[in-house]
Amino acid sequence: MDKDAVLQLLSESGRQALETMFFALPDAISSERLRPSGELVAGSLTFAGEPPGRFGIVLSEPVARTIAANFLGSDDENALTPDQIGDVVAELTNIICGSVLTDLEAKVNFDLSSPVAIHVPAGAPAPNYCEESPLACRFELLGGSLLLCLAFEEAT
Amino acid sequence: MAFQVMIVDDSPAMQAFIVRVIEISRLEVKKCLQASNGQEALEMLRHEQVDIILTDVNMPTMNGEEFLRHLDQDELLKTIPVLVVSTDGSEHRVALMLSLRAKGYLKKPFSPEELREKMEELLGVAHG
Repeated sequence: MDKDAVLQLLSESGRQALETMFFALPDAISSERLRPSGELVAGSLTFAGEPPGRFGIVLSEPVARTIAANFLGSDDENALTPDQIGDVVAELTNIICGSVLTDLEAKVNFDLSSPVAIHVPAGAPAPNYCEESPLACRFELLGGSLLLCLAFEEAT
Repeated sequence: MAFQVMIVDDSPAMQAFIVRVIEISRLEVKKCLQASNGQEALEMLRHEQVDIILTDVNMPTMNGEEFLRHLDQDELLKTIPVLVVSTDGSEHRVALMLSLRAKGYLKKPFSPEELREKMEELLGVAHG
């Protein structure tokens, strides 16, 4: 698998999802692997297929709150509950991962697990989805950043 | 004519997004029924008439594929146009769902305009 091609797909799928359904325009996109700082929201899932793997995203809480308000059509992002924000981050995780895998291998059937989202208070240990993944992509948005990490396992 | 729409998706956020897109579209919709899986949708369809069904594929309890198979076995329900809305855009999945009488397939991510156009197409509503 060509790493550069997958990175390109990761960045393009992330940008497209953010723009078309979450109405968020990234200021910059890079292959920087640095996790956002402060309070975070993280989403993750695993997938079966050839090859299987896992996908994770980590967002600054203000970014998660803004895209949740955009997605749900809420005029007051401060009125959103953590559960509502978590549901939207889980959906974003699902959409980006599904899009990357389909564009990567349209002839392969991947089965995605249900995405799980968690809130991470500032200073608390955050999941490091990129630890074992060479495939990472970071988006800079108003209010913080978003990190995507994709890891493939050896097919059995 | 005002339409009745059914949305079948296990994500409350996705349900809310679709309802909002429908609300801001020019489609005349009198009611949006929401179910979180195929089983729940079939139960609702015993008492409610709908003009179009929008369904996800990956759902607990009864997924989109099983749901379409159930619809296909019912003489009345099999006439309702179904639009599949899913992150799974693999050739195999798309072909399978269309072979099970789905009338359209919309891969996420999609824009609000794309969803509206697909719904208009399936409902036979002229754009404009």
